Amino acid sequence: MRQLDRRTFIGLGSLTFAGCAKEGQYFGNTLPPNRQQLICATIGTVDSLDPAKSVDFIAEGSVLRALFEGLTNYHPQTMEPTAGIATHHETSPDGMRVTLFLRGHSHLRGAAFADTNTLRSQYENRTLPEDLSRGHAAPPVGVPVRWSDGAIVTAHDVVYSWRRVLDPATAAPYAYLLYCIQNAKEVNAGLVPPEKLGVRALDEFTLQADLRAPTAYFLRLLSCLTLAPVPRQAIEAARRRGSENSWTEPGWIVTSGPFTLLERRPRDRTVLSRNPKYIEADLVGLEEVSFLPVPELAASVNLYKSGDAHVIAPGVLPPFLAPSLSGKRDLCTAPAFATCFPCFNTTKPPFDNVLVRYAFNMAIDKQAIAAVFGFGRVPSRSLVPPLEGYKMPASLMIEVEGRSYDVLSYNFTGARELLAKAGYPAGMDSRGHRLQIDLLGPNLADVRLRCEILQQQLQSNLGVGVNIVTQEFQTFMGRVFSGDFRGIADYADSGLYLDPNWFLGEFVTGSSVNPTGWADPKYDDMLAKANATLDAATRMQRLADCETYLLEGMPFIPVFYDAWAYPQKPYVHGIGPNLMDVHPLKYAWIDTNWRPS
Amino acid sequence: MLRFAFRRLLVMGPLVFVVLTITFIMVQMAPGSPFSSQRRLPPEIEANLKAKYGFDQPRSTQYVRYMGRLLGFTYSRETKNWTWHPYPDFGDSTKYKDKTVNQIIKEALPVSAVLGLIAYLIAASVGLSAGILAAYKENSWIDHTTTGLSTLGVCIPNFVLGPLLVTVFSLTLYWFPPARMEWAAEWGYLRIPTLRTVALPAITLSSVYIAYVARLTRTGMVETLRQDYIRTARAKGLPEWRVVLVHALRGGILPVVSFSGPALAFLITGTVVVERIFSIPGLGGYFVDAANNRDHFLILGLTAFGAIALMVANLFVDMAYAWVDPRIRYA
Repeated sequence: MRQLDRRTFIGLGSLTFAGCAKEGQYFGNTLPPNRQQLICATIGTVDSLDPAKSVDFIAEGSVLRALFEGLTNYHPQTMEPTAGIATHHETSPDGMRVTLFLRGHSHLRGAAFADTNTLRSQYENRTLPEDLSRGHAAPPVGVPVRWSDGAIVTAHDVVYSWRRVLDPATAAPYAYLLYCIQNAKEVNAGLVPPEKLGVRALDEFTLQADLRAPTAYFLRLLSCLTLAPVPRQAIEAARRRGSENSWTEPGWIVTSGPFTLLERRPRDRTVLSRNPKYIEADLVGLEEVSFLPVPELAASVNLYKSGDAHVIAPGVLPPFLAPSLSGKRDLCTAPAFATCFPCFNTTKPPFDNVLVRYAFNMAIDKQAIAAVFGFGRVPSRSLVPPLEGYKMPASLMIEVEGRSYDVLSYNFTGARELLAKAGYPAGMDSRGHRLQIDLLGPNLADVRLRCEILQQQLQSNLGVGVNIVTQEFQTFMGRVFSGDFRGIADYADSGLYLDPNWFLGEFVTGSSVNPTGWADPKYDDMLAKANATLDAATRMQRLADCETYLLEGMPFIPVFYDAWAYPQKPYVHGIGPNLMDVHPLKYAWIDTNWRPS
Repeated sequence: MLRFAFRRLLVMGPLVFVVLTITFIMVQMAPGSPFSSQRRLPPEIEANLKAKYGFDQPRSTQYVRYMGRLLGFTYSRETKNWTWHPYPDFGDSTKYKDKTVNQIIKEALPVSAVLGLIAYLIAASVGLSAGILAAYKENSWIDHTTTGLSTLGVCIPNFVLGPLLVTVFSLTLYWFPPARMEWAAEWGYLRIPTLRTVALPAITLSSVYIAYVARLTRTGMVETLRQDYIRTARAKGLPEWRVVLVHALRGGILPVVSFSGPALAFLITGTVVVERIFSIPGLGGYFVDAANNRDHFLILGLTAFGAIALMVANLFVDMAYAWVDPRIRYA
């Protein structure tokens, strides 16, 4: 046997040594950069910088929020609306008219939104862990917000922007967020011109909106990006140049937010730089922010580990990374306003029988599934995720042939009895064959995992045969919403505004986002009545009753409430995990002298 | 030679037209809509989106308007007229709403082209050197090692080799970044990547071709080195390097040249995987995304581009073949 060469030995030895590097309490490289430059790896490309046309608020949200100031912004921790371009609001006693007072107004009325001063007082009374105001005071309400080209943002800009969102020629995907305004739906369908929309500017800094019905969550909608004012002057200049879409190109774009656009290459990087004309420009700590679109999750985590990225957005880390990241101090997790709820096709057997649906729900051990997916996911019994002020149904007793069952609980004995009563004793149908159902899912890694767990639980707890059908995402969506599936389809949803109506409204008759085929006019009436209630507490109670009624129909299996999970370098301050995974970059700053303690 | 090239170029036009027609039919037949995202859209919004991109028209109208745009004629819905422009307009992307397909191709093509070229040059230089050396020292340990490594290079697919290289060289040794490209120089749309960021993708992409080129060179050279005229050259007293690298290589390189055609084809398709692994903003990544997102115009534009690139590459390879070996005649 030939002797090992000394050079070979050193080469092999160094490789082995590298593999035995000590595991630190942080994931990867923690050397801070020497400038205020944040690098954010985004999973998903930033498709459009036009707030009206943006589809993916999760990947694009941080970029768009940094460029365009909304009428309100999300509070960094509680998600309540805080002052953006609007500082005060007033709702008429019948709830049909909302008046917003924008910055620059001299005669204010109504209630004030929280602002930077509120953030400081919250830090002082220990509600917030960090002083996000960093010693700065909120700008006086008489000072108007300006576009980066110096023009003042007025209520006319807001009216123009909302009409543009609803204009059919714009084809805005989230135009339906504005459907609560009078004539909005008709404008979007092309039946009436945009000038008939129930929104008007009473003067330069006062906006008035007429609603179709009292809408308790209207103020929450103002933080959604679709409603952010856009610069009319830039869009019209682009139209005169011959290409309206070019208004978002660097050099042409006009912004109102804390940053402006320096460089934009869709799959390469998007770079923002500080906007000195921003209303709270002295609060902004970062000089530059780079967004790197990295479609592969593993590659983005690798970039984070090597220190080439400081944070990953959105917070959708897959379960297989849980072992490497759990216990690290730079992992950020937060509950999400999102639920995973595989849906039944209630129009086709066997799931047209509600007893079968109850049986399947009671046969799933949701605690086990939530534990596998980790990162703080919570098993769920109902549809609407936990929300302050909303008491979700915890149990639902249904009486079947003299016996009472809690159909929201995990009870596989009861499930088997219900299945037998439905006509499938021990999972066998009337001809003596095992009941076979299809479990449909898109070809995403964590969906496949969830389907396999569901399959195993249903087969062992109920004795039914489950056939997993994985399809490419677009094909899956087409099939599910055309009702062309027999069985269960994996489904999940996350709310764009914090109100139970986001989830409950999906099951109204005629809704285009209901994959179950379940509809009940009584539910529609209950929901409409609940939404028309002016008293907040009574409305929440009525919405909870609606959810209980929906759960009696059980068109889906609530599995778990989702959670955000992402790594963030310890030297990045001012942004953190929250319910909507929103990172307002105006508060962010980098501690360039950070060292591990 | 020029006549030959001209005839081939003439055939290219109708061929691209046929390719596009087939692609158009397949894209129209694919299930799913360009506008479904995580949440389905209400029907009136979907109708607005379809009208914007012309998908509400019958398929024959869409086809005629699309082909018209490629020839320079654009139909405007607002004014209901046709206008002419001296360049093909591939349309707007439904996913990247701010960009047209022309812009996307202009930005992404130089990136893929540079990466493919660098990979090809690595493959050619390393493969040729290894093959020549192996042929020259036939049946020695150099020959056996090269043959063994070639087999390994062919067996390991690039989606295994890429992450393996990243784990060793990026995440353990921190020599190279694990993903993405940085630019050393830019002239308009042409961007040259830095050595640090192009190393791993280029090595991953070229690994299979190094192996093939080495094997092909070795085979060609072994055969050529046995020829009589090589013995004559040596007998005339020429230096050994001249005998091998000038006289023998000219004959031995023929298999490599004919392999270059399919190699360029593989490079174009191989970039799809490598660009995804390393998050490189080239055409390959757009290919995958366009198919997943049912981005009709981007799929058609990229397919047209890929077809043209392949045909031009094969034309150059055929011309190079004739230039290298004077015995080959073209009618």
